Order: sequence, then structure tokens, then C-alpha cells
Amino acid sequence: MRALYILAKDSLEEALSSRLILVSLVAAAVLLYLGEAVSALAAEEETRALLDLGLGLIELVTLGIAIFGGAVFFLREGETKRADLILSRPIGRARYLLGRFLGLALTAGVSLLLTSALHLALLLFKGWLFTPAYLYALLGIYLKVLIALSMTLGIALWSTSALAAMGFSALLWSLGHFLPEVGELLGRGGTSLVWLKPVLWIPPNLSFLNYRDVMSLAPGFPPVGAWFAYAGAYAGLWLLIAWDRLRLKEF
Amino acid sequence: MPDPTALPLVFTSVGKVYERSHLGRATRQQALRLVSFEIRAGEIFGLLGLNGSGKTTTFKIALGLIQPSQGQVRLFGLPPVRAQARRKAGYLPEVPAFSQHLSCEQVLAFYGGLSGLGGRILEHRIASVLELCGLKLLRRRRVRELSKGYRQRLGLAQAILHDPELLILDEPASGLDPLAILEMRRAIEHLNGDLKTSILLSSHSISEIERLCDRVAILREGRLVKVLEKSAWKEAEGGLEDLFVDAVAAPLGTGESA
Ligand SMILES: Nc1ncnc2c1ncn2[C@@H]1O[C@H](COP(=O)(O)OP(=O)(O)OP(=O)(O)O)[C@@H](O)[C@H]1O
Ligand SMILES: [Mg+2]
Repeated sequence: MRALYILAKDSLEEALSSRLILVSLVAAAVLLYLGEAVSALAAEEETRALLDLGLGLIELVTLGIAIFGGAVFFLREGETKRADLILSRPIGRARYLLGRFLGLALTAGVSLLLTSALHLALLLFKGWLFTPAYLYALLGIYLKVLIALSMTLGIALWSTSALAAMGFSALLWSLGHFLPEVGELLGRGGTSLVWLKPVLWIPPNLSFLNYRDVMSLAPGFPPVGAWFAYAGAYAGLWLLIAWDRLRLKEF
Repeated sequence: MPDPTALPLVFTSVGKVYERSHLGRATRQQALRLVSFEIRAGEIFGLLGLNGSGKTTTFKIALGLIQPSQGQVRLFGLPPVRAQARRKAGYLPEVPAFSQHLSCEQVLAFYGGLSGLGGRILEHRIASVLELCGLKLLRRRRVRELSKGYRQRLGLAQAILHDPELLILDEPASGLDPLAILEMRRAIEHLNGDLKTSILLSSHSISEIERLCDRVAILREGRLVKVLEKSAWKEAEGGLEDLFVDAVAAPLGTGESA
């Protein structure tokens, strides 16, 4: 437990000191400012537009941080030879992976908290009435980002290419938002493509966690328990895939 | 659980082939062949060999950082990939690399924590290794501001932080000034003499090895061609240097390989 904490804290502090978070905050501030300008065009729907746009931007920035961090982390730790010193200590590789994953997840979490605080302040200033649905939307975003992070770690370790990992994760991410639609399309085009359906099990089902797009429609509260179960299982699988590569990796 | 009576380190017929594939082209590099030796408790064991002869590879295998392709390795009686086996080992790598944004103290707290130290004990240990490695005045300095020699000292500090029973030092004197080399030698003598730490080290300085080591092994192109006791080079006319040159210059396969 202590080793997990030490490893996680170390990666979080490194991210903070590398100003990655600062960059994300500045990006978010600029984007929110633009968003505010755009939403002003939407006249009577102003706060609604600001809400939707803002959540979209928060998701994008947090996702960017997680995917970037996940893609370069172990490659860099190998290249700088820091991994050798850490692994010469009595730390198993599963623990090493988990500790670093937690650190990257915390980094994304901090960025999410900061950007959403900015967003929320702006919303309230514009006279928006707070609803708990906002927090559910943030939770959904965070779980999606954790899934993306674990995918990226797995792909980066196997492909040993940060670029490939970022690209492939982004692809799976986008696919993950259209799974029901794609599934229906495959079914409709006669029977010829039905065999492709199992392939749809590979990308994560992100539309399931995508509360921010529907929250304005007052759909009731989301199934948070099922969310956690799904995100935990899916991210866990990718972490297993990552571990299987890291287990014998020679840095 | 590690066996308390087990030798610190045993290599039995260890071979290592590095395999790389790049753009579909596979390359193989045989780095070690049939290497067997053991480190006895309390001794200083030196590894000599030309560049690329396999010293660093040997150390990495000993610590489970890379896997042997053949043979068996036991660190305190356990396979080194088991985290438990590494508990009593300390490692100074060829090029010690630390997080640039941390101070010396923070680096030590990080590695000490990973070795299971904490609280007052950790604080005490950090103060004592900073002192021993001549880093006391630089304890708040960030790694990115340290000169190469001071990084090397920090490398030694983290290696001995948890009072290891086996210390593996990959070219410990590299990058050090003459005074620091002397201090490094004193530190090694203190660790071995007073604390009974077993030490496995490599160096390109034959005089350094000659002075420090109880036994020396000579690696040549991945083969262990000789293991010498101190008496052997004390008695030899040209000292260890001649024995070394003979071992690495003689044609291979003339009966002296292990
Ligand atoms: N990661 C690697 N991939 C492929 N080959 C490697 C790798 N590391 C080392 N080698 C090769 O293995 C052999 C032994 O290398 P090693 O680093 O163990 O030598 P060394 O004795 O430590 O040399 P030096 O005195 O230069 O530090 C060399 O031929 C080297 O090119
Ligand atoms: Mg070397």
C-alpha cells in the first residue's frame, strides 16, 4: 500500500512540476473564454450552451492529459533509466504499474477538478442554477478518462510508440461513443456484416458513461453502481494487458 | 522468505541473448555465455572486462531487471524477479538517473520509501548517508542542478540507504574527482569492513580493483575467463594488470576459459 502511495504521489508531483497541469488550465481558460463568447450568440439559451460546451472542453482537456501521460510515461521512464532504479527495489512490477496508473489518474483528476471549478464559477456567475446532475456528468467524464488512460498504457507498452498509442486510443475513444449506432448499422446492412459484431466488444462502451450529453434532457440519475462496475472491469482488463507486457519488459 | 543461510548471489551457467526486432529485422546479441560464479558473504568481488564484455548485463540480471536466456540466478536464495529477493540488495547503476525536479533529500525519501523505510528511521538514515557521501550541504539542491560527480554520489547514497547486505556498484568511481574517488574507496571499505556488506563492483581502474577486492572475475566477450583470489595477483610479478591483459588478449579457447 505504501509503495503504491509513494509511486502515485511521485508521478502526480512530477506532472505538477512539469507544468502539464498549468498548460491544461491555461488551455481550458482560453477555451472557456471562447466558449463564453460563442454561447453569447446563442442568446436565450446562453447558460445551456455554456454548460454543454464547457463540459465538452473539460472532457477534451482531461482526456488529452491522460492520453498523453499514459502514452509517454513508461517509455520515458525506460529511456531515462529511472525504471531500473525503481525496479531494483523490492517493488513487484504489478505494484509499479498500479502505482504509476494511480498517479496518472490523480493527475487527470486534479486537472478535471481545476477546470471544472473554473467552469462552475463561470456558470454560477451567469445565473445558472446548480444541479447534482453536473457532478454526475463530471463523474462520467472521469470514468471515461480512466478507461482511456488504461487503454493508452496497454497500447503504449505493447507498441512502444507513444504516437501509435495516442492515435489508437483516440480511435477507440471515438468508436466507443457510437457503439449502439454502429451495431445497428451492421445489423441493418443485411446479414453480411453481422459477424463483425463481436469486434464491437473491443472498444469501450463510452456512450454508457456519457451523461453530459443527456443531462439537460433530465433523464434521471445515472446508474452509478453499474458505471463503476463497467469502468472498473474494462480499465482493469487493459491494465492486465499492460502488466503482461511490463512483467518481463527490459527497459 | 529469503533463506538466511543462502549466499548473497549465485550465477549458474547464465547466458543472455539480447533480441531486438526493428522493422521486421531481428538482431541477436549474445552478451553472456555460461557465466557461473558466486558472491560469498562479506567479500568484495570485482568484475573486470573491456567495454561491452557484459558487466552491466550481469548486474541487471542479478537484480531481475532483465531475464537470463539460460541458466539460473539466485539472489539470497531466491530468483531475483521476486521482489522479496531484492530487499537486501542495493544498486548503483552505470548512469544513475533521478527525477530532475526532486532535491537530494526527496530522492532519498522516495527510494527509502520504496524499500519500506519510513518515519524517524528514514530521516535518520537519510542524514547519515548524506553525510557519508559528502552531500550534506547539498541536501536541498535539485537533481537538475547537480554536477555529474554529485549525481554519482547521490547514486551511492540511495544504494546504501536501506543498509543492504549486498551492494552492486557499476563503475562507482566514474565521473568522480580524485578526492571523491578516495572518499568512495573509503566508503566502500567502511561498508565492507564495519558493516560486513558484501560488494560486487565493476571498474575500469585496475589499481582501484586491486586495492579493494578480495576476488576478481574477468569477463571477455560475455565469457567468464578467470576468477582470481587476492593472493594470485599479490604473488604475480606484474600484478593484476598483467593477469588481466593476458586474459583478455590471449586467443579464446586456449584452455583457460571457465
Ligand atoms: N539493451 C541491449 N540491447 C542489445 N544489446 C545490448 C543491450 N545492452 C547491452 N547490449 C550488448 O551486450 C553486450 C554487453 O554489454 P554490457 O553493457 O553488459 O557491457 P559492459 O561490460 O557493461 O560494458 P561497459 O564497460 O562499456 O560498460 C554488448 O555487446 C552490448 O552491445
Ligand atoms: Mg557497463
